[in-house]
Amino acid sequence: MERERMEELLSAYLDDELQDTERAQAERLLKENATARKLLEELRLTSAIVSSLPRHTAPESIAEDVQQQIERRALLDHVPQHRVTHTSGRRTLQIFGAIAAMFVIMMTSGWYLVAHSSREFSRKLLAENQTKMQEAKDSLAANKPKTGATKPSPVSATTAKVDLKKSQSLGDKVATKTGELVAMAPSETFESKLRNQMAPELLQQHSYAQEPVQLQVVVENERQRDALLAKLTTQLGQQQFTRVSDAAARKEQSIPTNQAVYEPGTPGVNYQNTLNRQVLVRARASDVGKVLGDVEAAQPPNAQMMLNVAGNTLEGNQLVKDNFIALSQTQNELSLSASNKTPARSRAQSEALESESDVTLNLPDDDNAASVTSAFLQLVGIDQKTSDELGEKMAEAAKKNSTPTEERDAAPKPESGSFAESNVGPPAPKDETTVADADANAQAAEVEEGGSLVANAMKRADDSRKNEAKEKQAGAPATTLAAAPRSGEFADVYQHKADEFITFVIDIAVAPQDTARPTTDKPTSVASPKSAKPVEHNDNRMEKKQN
Amino acid sequence: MAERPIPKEPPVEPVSTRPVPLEDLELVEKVRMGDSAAYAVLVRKYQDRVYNTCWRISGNVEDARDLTQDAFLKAYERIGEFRQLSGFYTWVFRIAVNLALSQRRSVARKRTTSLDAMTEASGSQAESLIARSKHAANHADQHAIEAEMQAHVARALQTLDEEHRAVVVLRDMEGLDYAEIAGILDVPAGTVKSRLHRARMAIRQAILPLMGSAGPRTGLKDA
Repeated sequence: MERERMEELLSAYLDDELQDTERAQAERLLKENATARKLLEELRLTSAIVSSLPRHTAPESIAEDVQQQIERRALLDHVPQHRVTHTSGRRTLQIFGAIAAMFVIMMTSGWYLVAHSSREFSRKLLAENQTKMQEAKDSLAANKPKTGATKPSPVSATTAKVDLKKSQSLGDKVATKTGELVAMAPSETFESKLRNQMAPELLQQHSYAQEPVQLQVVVENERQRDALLAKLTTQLGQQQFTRVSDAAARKEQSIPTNQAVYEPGTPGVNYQNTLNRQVLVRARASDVGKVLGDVEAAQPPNAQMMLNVAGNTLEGNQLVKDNFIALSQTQNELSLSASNKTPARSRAQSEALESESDVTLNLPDDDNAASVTSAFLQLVGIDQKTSDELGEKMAEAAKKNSTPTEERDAAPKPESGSFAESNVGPPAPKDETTVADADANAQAAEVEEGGSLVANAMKRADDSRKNEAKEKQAGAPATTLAAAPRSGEFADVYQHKADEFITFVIDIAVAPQDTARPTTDKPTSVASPKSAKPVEHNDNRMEKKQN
Repeated sequence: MAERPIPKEPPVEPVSTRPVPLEDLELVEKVRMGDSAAYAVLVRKYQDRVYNTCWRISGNVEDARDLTQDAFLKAYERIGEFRQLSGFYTWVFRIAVNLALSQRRSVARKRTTSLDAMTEASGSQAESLIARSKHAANHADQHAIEAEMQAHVARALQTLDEEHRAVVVLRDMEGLDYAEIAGILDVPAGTVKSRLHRARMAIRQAILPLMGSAGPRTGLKDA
């Protein structure tokens, strides 16, 4: 018998893999040949040692990674291959239907924000700011700086001559320029222009092209967000994602409680044409009224102040973030944030989710709105024409629902209260109240109650504290500040609990020659009421507000 | 060793000679209905075995991790093609082994020693081992010798080409029968038998000195 054939026979004999005749042959060989017997023993030992080689436990993350990949792929590919072959047509339809519905919601939500937030908000702000600047000009011309709390000026939307046609197209930047609106170079800031003594004229200028485009996307969970991100990344080619939520959270946390941190105005946002600087404040909801009053007292006498609770802060946008992915694009930066839609979750869970949800996609150039939007439209499978049609429908619906300009103009204005021109940011998505509505409501509420928003806020905070104390005594959960009907105040819109921290932004516009210029980087403590010292300001803090 | 190349994608499902666990079949059915949690159960059940097989074939843990993950993902994608002629683990093994073999072929190959060359070169190695085994016999206990044998076997395993290594791993480490191995590698059972014999002989050669033999052996003389 050939040597190799015999060795193979013995190897297979060892494994009990021989047919009867072969086995008989092997047994005969083993009986007659001592070398064969020794070889069999050596093969047996060899096999035993191989089988005794150490084994590793698979990394625990494998199962999790596989699970995540499966779900991600399921979303990206809509339906896994095996589902096509093994599920009924009805189920497939259900899956596609759900995805289609999600995309429609994405687009309508996105349009909603673009149409309502940016257009209405910008129009109103422009009108207000032009009026205020006219006042400032008049004041300067008369060489009579205002003293004390600034009276709010009547809002006149009719003074704004802004062509908003383009803002109704999702594929375009929010608005366009008119003869009155001159674009600023991206490198210039309002602060720098103020320093160059060009403010009065430049305050009339506004670059809508630099306004953020915001698309809001409904997602059910983080996996959907990841899938959208993955697909968007694919659409956009080699762009890199960097997470910014941690930085945003750190920034927010760095604001001392109940103290104001002054920042220069941020270029490229709605307030650009009025901003002198911004004040960031982080305070407990129950302390907000008091803090607002303190900040107000620290400002120069002719300061125009606007409260922006819905600023680009984590907590200010909490309600929005609870329900949407907000995809906003500003200059060369695309921020995409998401959070779980689950309404009831703890603060810790919410924050943990936030840290996983915010993503910034850095894009190579400033003129990327079209490419980003195009990629997004591709992502959701809606062409530009459909998007435009959808936008027009939404705009029509919004027009029907919005408060007529004349009504707003005719609304009586309060006689006192620097924060009477408080603005809220994008309206809460669940109700369809526009910014104009909110503002009108706020004004009406003020008139009804006969006081400023600050006073009202303080009163509400006091009431809230009292209610909270009562409920605590009664064992009831802490109440929210949103018990009253919506009036445009932060608490009513954002439903923070009394002991919850809120970060908000106060925009301050000051006539150039009267601008107080703080000299240190330290935040101004507003804990001491009615502090008359000049506000502290950090000129170098940020040229551009980061997320 | 002119054998059929192993296809990159397994075209048919291996047929198992042993009973297929009912629990697995139920889980697979759930997966087909879209229950990804059921698939997670299957992954956890077999991930260690698949991982170790990938580790032994690929030779490093990083590749093994990726291969294991890829194998389970691919199995999920193709689970519609799983006709339950074999156990789920055999199905996954088939995918994992083929992925591992493809990966080994695609990366810059390590210099592998042919079985013939290994036989020829084993003389000097054997002499070294004899000296060490004598030393070991004098000063170490049996456990130490076994550990040394394991180390030699592990090294010898890595010197085999991937087709032979895969057969040894699947048979001696995973305990699969020839039919299952043939199904996994998509080769005839006779090829499995042949590869296994050659691989074992090569490994035996590497550890022969530790077995107390006087010198290199080449096996039986022709009868």
